Amino acid sequence: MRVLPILAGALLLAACTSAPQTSKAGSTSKPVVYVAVGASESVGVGLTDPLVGAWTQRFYRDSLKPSAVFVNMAVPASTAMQALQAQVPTAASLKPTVATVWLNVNDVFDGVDPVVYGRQLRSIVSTLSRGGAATVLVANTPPLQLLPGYLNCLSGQERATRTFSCPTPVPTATALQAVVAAYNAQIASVTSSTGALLVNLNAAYTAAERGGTTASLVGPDGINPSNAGQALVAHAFAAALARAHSAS
Amino acid sequence: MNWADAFHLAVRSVLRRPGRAALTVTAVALAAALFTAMLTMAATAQGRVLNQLANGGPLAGIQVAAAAANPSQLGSDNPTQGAPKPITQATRSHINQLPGVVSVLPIVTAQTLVLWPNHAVAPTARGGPDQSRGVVFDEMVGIDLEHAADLPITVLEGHLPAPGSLTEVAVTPALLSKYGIGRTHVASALGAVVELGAPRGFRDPDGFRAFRSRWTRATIVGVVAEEAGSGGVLTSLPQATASHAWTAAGDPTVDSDAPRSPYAGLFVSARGLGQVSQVRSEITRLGYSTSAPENIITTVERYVHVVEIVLAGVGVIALAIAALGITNALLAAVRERRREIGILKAVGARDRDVLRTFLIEATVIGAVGGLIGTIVGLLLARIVAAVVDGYLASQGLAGVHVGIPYLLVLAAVAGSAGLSLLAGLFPARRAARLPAREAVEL
Repeated sequence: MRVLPILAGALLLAACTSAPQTSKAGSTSKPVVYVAVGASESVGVGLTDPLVGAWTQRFYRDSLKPSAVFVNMAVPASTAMQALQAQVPTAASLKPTVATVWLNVNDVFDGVDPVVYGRQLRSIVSTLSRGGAATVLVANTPPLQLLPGYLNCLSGQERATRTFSCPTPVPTATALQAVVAAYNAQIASVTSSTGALLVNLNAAYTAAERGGTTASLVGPDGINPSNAGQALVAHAFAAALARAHSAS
Repeated sequence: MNWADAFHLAVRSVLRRPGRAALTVTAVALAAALFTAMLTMAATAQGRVLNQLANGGPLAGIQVAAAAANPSQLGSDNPTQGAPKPITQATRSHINQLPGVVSVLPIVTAQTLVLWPNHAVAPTARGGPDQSRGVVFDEMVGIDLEHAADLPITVLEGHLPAPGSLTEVAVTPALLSKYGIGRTHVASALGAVVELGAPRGFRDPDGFRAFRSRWTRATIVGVVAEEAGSGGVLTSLPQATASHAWTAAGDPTVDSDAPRSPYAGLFVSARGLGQVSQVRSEITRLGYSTSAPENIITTVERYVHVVEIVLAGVGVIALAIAALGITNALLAAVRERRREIGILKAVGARDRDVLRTFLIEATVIGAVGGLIGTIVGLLLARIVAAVVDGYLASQGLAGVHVGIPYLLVLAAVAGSAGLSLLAGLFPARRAARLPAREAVEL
């Protein structure tokens, strides 16, 4: 009868010793593939060291596993429609497990209708999500009416910089705020219906405004984020991903 | 008198005059030490020089490039390559089946941006004013790390990445120099995390050329000198293959320089140096450019052999001088022991018994001296190697390894004993011819 406990102990030992093999198999599993879809903000336009300072590169460096692979598909000045045609097909072909989307500033300034924009964004998110195989993080629109670039346009001081042209006609701050709100409503609707994660950049920038640090978050062109702004955006995306992980 | 009696007499005679015996043994030992040390160092130097010529890889290694053969330079070790010619899996299999081929190892290279965050690039390595701080353009060389020993790779610091690893790389001193890290400080790079970006050419909707990179992160685990490819980053094969595939799928009108061949090269090991020419000819017949240091190795082997002969000659001269010392010591012994020899003859010892005793005495002195000398010689060679190692390490180069050449040890001991036997022949014959009356005349 004493044989049974010994046998059970041996089986337990065998089960324990087989554990490292499992972890070994895990280390050779497919790595995280992260793709970024976006515009100039996601490329790091205006930074001295875009490869070091862009929020996409920071997010990849600081928030994903060391074995993660990253491809930044962002194209400066891209709208959602242009991204759908030029960025998303290649991005989806990489079979991403994590995707970030920040596409709205150019659409707003180009006067794209929020509903049309919402349809295009839904298509982008659905394609990247591949039926839930990828975690898609979508940023909403920051308070554009606070950006120095827009304020310069409004006051007529500057019509164009190297990376940004003033919209014609220049909308009033109230009108712009309303458009931003309409865009963010569309973005919230897309994320809630597709299971994507909302990254609330609007709230982050508004909090910065209350703290009096908005200006330092924007680069010399008055539109694209500075190094500090890029860090803030990267942190917002990282926090959203961490919240999703902790919730799951 | 039997052999045991003769041996007993010879040993007693050696022990009776310990001072003289010690001096004679020392002379033989010094000569044997010189002989052993010189030949060991010559053999080590030969191995080192040849390995250096073969860049650390097997001497019978042939590098096949993804380029057409140049028919006018078939006899050259490093011919100029012809037009690009892709190496495919089928090419690899074909070469593997050629007679005289032991192994065919693939080499995959990929263009890569190396981003070392928080580490500035040396001013001389910066590509231009728009270049990001910490970014250099280089090439990634992917190899089958399980067979790294068969490739021209020498680990200078740390170790090679684990086979199949996607998060470890080794780098070359040339890459580190772009970050202002000199050869003597390469170890400081170990443990650093770099980001590697394989670029792909795109045509944006507005028609502009653009590059987007496939980024991976890796820890530097080793610093290597490598000649498998032309890049500064050594990775596993899967890592380089994925990067190469990303770049190769780009728009050719944007990046015409992007490598399209699945393999950048092959490293073919022939069965031996004698097979290298034949295997190279076969590969050339398939239309590929090859290189192997066969001509230079043959030439250097010839020169090193001459040096070996000269050094061995010096050792033999030393041994000959020692043998003369043995002859001299034994002649003195014969003169001193004439009475003893006479008594031996008087009690019935034959000429050949006396001859045997003296020959055994000479052989014992030679064997003991040879053994001591060989050991001292090997120690000397190791001390010299340690000094050379220190110098090479200070230059950022791999050290030398002194093995124990068992055949040389045996030859040195046997040679010393044999030479002593010959040296003892003349005094032994003189002792054997002494008549028995010598015992009463003195």
